Amino acid sequence: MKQSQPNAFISLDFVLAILPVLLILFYGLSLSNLLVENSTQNMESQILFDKLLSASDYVVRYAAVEKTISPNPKESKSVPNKISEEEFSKLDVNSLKEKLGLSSLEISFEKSASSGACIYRLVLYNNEIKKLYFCGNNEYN
Amino acid sequence: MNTIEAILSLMIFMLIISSFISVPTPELEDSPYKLKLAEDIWRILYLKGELTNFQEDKILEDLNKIKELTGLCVSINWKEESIKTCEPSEFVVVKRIAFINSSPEMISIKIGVTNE
Repeated sequence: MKQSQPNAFISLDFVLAILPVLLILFYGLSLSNLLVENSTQNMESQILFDKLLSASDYVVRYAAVEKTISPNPKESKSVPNKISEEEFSKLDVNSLKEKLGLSSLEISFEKSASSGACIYRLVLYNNEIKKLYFCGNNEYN
Repeated sequence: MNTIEAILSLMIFMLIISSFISVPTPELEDSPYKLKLAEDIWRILYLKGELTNFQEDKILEDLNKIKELTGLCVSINWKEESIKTCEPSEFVVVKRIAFINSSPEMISIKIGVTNE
């Protein structure tokens, strides 16, 4: 029996049918790539934010605050949120930066102009309410 | 016929995908940070002695200073009373004990951004 349609028409029909399928595949792949990239970026930002929050908590609650030193270490106390000028100047930012795996970390009463994320905490410094900024960057940025 | 079916499938697929794309990406989980800021405010008021003597004008002065520095609204509530710089729209609340007229009272400190 003779074919009712020529072969060229069947091929054209096949090409037209496969084209949307290929487009779907291409679109799906680029979309999944975009979603993965977005979620990675979000995760990195969250990690950096959490690291800065941990650093701020350590500094504001213990490392840079006024302390009452007693011969018995158990009786020594720190006063959270009350920043001591002496303790603040002794703060080892580099060691903190390395422990947290950050490429940069700045702790100051003025917001850093450098790129990266910044958070602030409210503290008492010389009996005045101040914002203490913690700015940093992740190592892989 | 196949072509029409495929084009229709593509259109439906695009429609579904576009609805996925319009879903907003998740924002930073910052509720622990907000809680820390509320704790900071409570600590500052406590260190300045405002919560042991409970002088409302001094507390308001400090809250205004905090608003000026951070833009945050703070509202302190106890019983039916409150001291606030503005009404916080989206807030985090911490509850602490303060001495009001020499008697301990549970106060709640709310912080948030202004909706004014």
